[in-house]
Amino acid sequence: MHIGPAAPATAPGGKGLRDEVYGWPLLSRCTIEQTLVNEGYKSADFVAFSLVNSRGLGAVEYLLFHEGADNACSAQTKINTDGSWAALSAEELRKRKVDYARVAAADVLRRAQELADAWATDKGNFAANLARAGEPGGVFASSQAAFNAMSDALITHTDKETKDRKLGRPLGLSECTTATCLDGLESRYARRSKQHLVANLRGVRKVLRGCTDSGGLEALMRAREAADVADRVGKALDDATKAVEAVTPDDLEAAITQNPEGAKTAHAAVKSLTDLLKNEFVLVLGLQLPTLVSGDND
Amino acid sequence: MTEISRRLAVALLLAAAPATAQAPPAPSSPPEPAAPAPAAPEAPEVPSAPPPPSDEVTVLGNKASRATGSAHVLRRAQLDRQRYDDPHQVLLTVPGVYVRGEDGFGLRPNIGIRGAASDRSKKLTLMEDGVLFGPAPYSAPAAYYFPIMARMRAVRVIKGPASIAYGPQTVGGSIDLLTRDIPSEREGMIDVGVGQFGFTKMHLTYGASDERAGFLIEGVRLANSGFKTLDGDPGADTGFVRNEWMAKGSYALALGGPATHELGLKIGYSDEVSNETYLGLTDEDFRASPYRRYATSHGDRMEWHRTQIAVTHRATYPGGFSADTTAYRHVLSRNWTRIKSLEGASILDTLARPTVGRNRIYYGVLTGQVNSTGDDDRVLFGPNDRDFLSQGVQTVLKYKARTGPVEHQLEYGLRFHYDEIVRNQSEDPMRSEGGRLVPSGVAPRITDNNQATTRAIALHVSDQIGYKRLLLSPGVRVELIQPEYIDRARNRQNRRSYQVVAPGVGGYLALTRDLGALAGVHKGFSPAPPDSSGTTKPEESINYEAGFRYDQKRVRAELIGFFNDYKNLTDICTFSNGCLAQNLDRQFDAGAVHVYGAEAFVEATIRATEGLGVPVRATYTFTRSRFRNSFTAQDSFFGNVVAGDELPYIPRHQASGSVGLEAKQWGFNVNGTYVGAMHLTRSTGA
Repeated sequence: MHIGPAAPATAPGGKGLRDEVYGWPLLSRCTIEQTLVNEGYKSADFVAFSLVNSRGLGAVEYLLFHEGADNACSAQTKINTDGSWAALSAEELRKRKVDYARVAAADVLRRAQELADAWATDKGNFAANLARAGEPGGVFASSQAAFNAMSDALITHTDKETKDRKLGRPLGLSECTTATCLDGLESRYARRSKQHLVANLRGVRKVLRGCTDSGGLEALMRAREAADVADRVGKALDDATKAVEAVTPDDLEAAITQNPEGAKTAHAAVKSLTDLLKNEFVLVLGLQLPTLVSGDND
Repeated sequence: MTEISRRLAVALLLAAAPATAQAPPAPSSPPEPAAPAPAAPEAPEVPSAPPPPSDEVTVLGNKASRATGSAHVLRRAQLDRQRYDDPHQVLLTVPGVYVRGEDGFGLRPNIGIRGAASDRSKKLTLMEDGVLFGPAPYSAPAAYYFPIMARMRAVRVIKGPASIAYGPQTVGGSIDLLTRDIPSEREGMIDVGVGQFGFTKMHLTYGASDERAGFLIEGVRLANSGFKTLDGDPGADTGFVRNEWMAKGSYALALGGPATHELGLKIGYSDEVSNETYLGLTDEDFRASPYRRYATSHGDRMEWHRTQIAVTHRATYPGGFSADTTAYRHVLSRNWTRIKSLEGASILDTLARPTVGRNRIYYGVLTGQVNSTGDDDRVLFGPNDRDFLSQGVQTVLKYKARTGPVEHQLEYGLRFHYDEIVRNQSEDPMRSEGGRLVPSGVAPRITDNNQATTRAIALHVSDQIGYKRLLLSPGVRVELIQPEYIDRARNRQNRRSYQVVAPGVGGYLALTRDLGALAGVHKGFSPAPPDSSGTTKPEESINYEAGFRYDQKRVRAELIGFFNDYKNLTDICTFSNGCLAQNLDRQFDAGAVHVYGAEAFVEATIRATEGLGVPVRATYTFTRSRFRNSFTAQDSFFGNVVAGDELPYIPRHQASGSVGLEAKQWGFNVNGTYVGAMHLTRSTGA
């Protein structure tokens, strides 16, 4: 979730580490393929100067799981016009993908460790910033600001990322002008979209209920005499998780193609959860809805 | 409007006052008894058409030097010294006025007075010849139109209690631009200029009049190719073309008789095409090349056109009674097509941290170094199409009377006003390829489809009471406002009514013939714009000022302290202030704020030799401010505020100075301004 060191640098305590580990949906196959041709991954500066759409978990997935010899660049791109891509033998291409993946994976490990260290109580201890919200010099200007950051991350993760991006768009239900938009699916190469969705909802559970299922924001709702809302949020989360797990087959792309109703049921269940989060959850905790994208309308 | 009519009746009753004494423009010794009139037969007089107004500009009937509050008049002589086209440059020479540059030409000026927010000059009453010229002064007060300064013969800036005569914005003050008069004889002028960055200026006037009628035609064209350089196309035009035409006519209805009646007609047409963008630069890019523009802003373009018509009837009667009535209608259509956002990120966030995480991709897309590859790095581009209408009828009645030693100059003003804004705004997801925006195949999305209207009745009454050395000006302004908001995209509607009573009083005491003391207090007010919630409150303040004024034939000086006690300071969220999408054009309240400071001004013409003068002018403004409460606002103009923080965009120190050498046939002037550092967001302490 986009909170603390994982959040963008413009957020309180943000270091953009989420994007360094996993930049989805920003993944540029063409950039990766150009890097395979020019072997830019061998440069000592590669990690420092490359964009997140050509490294991170998304790039590792492509490099390890895409076995085709095609590339996603346009015919006018240099690697196609000068024949350098076509000149790569299958063996050479496989070797370069492995070498590239090794560099990218090492970087993922390093960044993930950096993120873990930022939260570790004996190192960055970012959680202390939440506890000290409102104190002079703190990351959060007030406890309200800290709560809003938490709820922003939770709602953005559940609504925009899980519901809209990972389910809604591939199903053709949002931001899609055709019947389906399967190119928007996550994990198109490793085909683990459904498993990622389940993991996302597991993360939502941890924020709502705490690591031991007895704390978190649900406990706060109960403390504010909103047990009914807490119960309904909990049930909606359970229903959403079951609905996602029930999607068949496990390959979400195949499920959308062959059995779209199951995927749509999962989408509707997640929407029930996000509707509760964006309305009653925000209301009982006195929070503000997240402001996702700023735009200019003057 | 039944409720408004009821309230109007109450307001009229409140405003009714018996006619009292007549006040001279300046306190003086009691007048000597008049000598008996000679017995010679009088030749019949044929009153000519009313003479053109003199160069003297008044404030509530008084010369500025005797105004019972802070008021400044920039006369033709001063305006002609520099012939600025940019209103910022003109107004920086007035103490207490802050400006914030944006496009570098003053196309859409940001002007504030004494702490009132400067964004798009929203907190000022802006007038041309006493008539509101803002596109929709109540419904959408942002000044997307501002007249070309070259057309003006004088500029009045009214800051103190006299500002209650002009509304709806009284919290900061008023600016009244006075256009060229119809000449008394056949006269024409052509002014041509060229300059850097392809600058061209053409200004022509022609007019004539006789004892019955007169006319004036004036046209101005300004153009330049811009001083910014577009990445990938250094020869691209980043400038603007602006045209403005005005025609005036006057006709004396009755020649002969003690009363004069004159009809006046003013029509105008203005348009602009400017290749302006809101897409800024990162701090590092700005330091390296402040005049750079990123490639993807190549298509950003503002186009607007405006028509105006005003019909005026002026009548003067014996005994000091006059009535000026004006009916006006202004129509503005503007469309600003430009980059609005990135699909998956905020432009603001991207440019603030361009090297972190995915922001490097977005920055690359904006600069054209990286092509869009997916959905999130598409660029949202599209039109903000807005139509404005502002129309109404206003009348100002003046009457001079006298009872014993006390002189009065009464003024009643009444205005019926209607304005509206219709917004049709959409965004088109575009891909960036090679620094050029190309269609992505995704359909455009409607972002706004709404209409805001306001009906308002404004009434003001003031009485300039003169007794010996003392001038006292009590007055009151009453506004009955009915805003309505219709959001067709979200199927929401709201209408409400409210009224504001804003009293004030100012005084001027002549200590000597040339030196006087002045003081005043008035209630400041700024109406809340129509919105879907219907809960926003108007901005209110109590404004105090006191000081001294010295006015001698060749020297004028002023020292005034001010204290504005805002009960509820507000800001209307705009992107030019870093606003977020869902908050645009919404008002946010900042609670109690204190703004205080001092203004100093001196102007003199030193006679060097016979026929050679040295005009000197200097101003200084000191301003401090304090938020009284701590809060967190969704409006990034405020952000997270701690009690004691200062207001953004108000410099603590500001000064201007000019000196010249002038003879009858030539002149040379040098001027400079200093604007101290100011916070870009609210900030604490030093």
